[in-house]
Amino acid sequence: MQKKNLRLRLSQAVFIFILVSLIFSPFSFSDAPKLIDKDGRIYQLAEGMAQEKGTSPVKAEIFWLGNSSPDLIQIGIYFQIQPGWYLYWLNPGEAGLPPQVNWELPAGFKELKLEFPLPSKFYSSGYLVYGYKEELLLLSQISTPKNFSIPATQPTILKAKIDWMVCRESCQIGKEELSLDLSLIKLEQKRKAEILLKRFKEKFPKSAEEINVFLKEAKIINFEENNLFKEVLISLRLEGKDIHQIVDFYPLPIDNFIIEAEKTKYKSGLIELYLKPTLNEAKIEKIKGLLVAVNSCYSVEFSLNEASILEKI
Amino acid sequence: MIRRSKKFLAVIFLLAGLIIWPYLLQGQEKTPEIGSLAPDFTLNCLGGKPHSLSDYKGKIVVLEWTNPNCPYVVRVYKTDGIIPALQRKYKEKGIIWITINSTHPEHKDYLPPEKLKEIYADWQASYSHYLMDPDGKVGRLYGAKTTPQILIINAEGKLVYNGALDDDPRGQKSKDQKINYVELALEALLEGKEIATPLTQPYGCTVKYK
Repeated sequence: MQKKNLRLRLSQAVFIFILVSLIFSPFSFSDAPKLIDKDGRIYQLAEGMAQEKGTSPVKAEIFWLGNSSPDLIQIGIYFQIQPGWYLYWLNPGEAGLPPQVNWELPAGFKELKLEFPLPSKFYSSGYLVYGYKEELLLLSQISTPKNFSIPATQPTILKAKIDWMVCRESCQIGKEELSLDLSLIKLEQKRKAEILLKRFKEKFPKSAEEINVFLKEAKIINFEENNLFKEVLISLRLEGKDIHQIVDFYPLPIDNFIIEAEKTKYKSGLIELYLKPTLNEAKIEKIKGLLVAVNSCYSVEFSLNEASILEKI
Repeated sequence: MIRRSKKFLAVIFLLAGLIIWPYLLQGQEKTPEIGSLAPDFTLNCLGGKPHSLSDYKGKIVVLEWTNPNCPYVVRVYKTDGIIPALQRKYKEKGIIWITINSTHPEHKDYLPPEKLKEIYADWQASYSHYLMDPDGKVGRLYGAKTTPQILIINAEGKLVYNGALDDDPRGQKSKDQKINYVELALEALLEGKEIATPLTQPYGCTVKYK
């Protein structure tokens, strides 16, 4: 009996110890590395300065990824990201900026669109992030002059000026100018590009027509009628044969509105978005974003023209 | 034996409550909205002297969140000189410009006051006061998310602007192309006009709270 009591007390003590440790865990500090200068002062070299010394955590490359139609080529901008760092999606979440690509193209070439793959949704230092860890492939569709074929018969140089914001605990801004001569495409490059494209194929958004999901009901709920700068709730009820495949919704930025990233929810066909208008007369006509399925994603656009407008009671 | 179990359960509930409490408090923080009264606070400046928002009652106050290890802050101070120029221009017009650093001391971006003094002097900063918010209480109270992020409080003590410095997060626009939201808001306030864009999406690095 005494032995039993002792065991009980011991297990209680262990349990309480665990609970006490849990209580203090939110107040505990991380073990971030520190530098101490010659005067004994503690400070850390800015990570932003690291890049000036050529130690950027991002390496960018450019690839020809093939033709999507006779007069349309696909160019990939591939980012290799060092472990722990991440780049941002078009909607970065609570802060951040997506990579930007500005093209300098020969006469007759035109950039039609730049596609971002499905990002991951994660928290970094308590902030919600839509971003990419380890690697990212951006896909650019470029139209060519008629009857253009690769390899080109004369030097045809595409120049991409790229800039990005890369973060972990701290952030860096990076930029690079990449160029690709379409008259010098080698077999080895082509193979590498094929492997890359195969790896990323399923990550690029598919068309909304490829999934049977539709908007059943849309509501715009105003929180305070008289205050134009208070938040609004957009509630979208989705239905369809494939609705069970959808696990999340990632919204794209909305002009003149701030999306409250951490409040965005998706559950059982219901999307909830909290938005703050930045202009007096700001109106929302549509919500664009990605419907995220288990192994793929779909680019969607929901019109709010038929939405019922409600006031919160 | 039953009494002991009850005591044990009571201790468990108490401890469980203590675990959940900080998280509940975090979720309940109510940040001021545009048009609402700016809550008072007291923070120490780089020299260690306390300063309260209420010390500047009746004046227009700019609250600027900063972190010199953020490349966006480096650009708007050191490279483009936008913030130092605004600080000089509006301090002369009687506006109080308070720069706040909410970086937690355990974060790798944290710098001690002496180092901060050196950096901002090198950047020719001209703030009225540089306040340290190491536990992030004031940053969280105001919902500051990025550096730089600017909030403006009018002479009546109400929050009238919250957001970005300008519409050029990448620093690619010329002076004539960019919209400087802070300058427009301060000019409107000085002229007694309504601020056309009181809320914008701030850009930059996240505030490095604990």
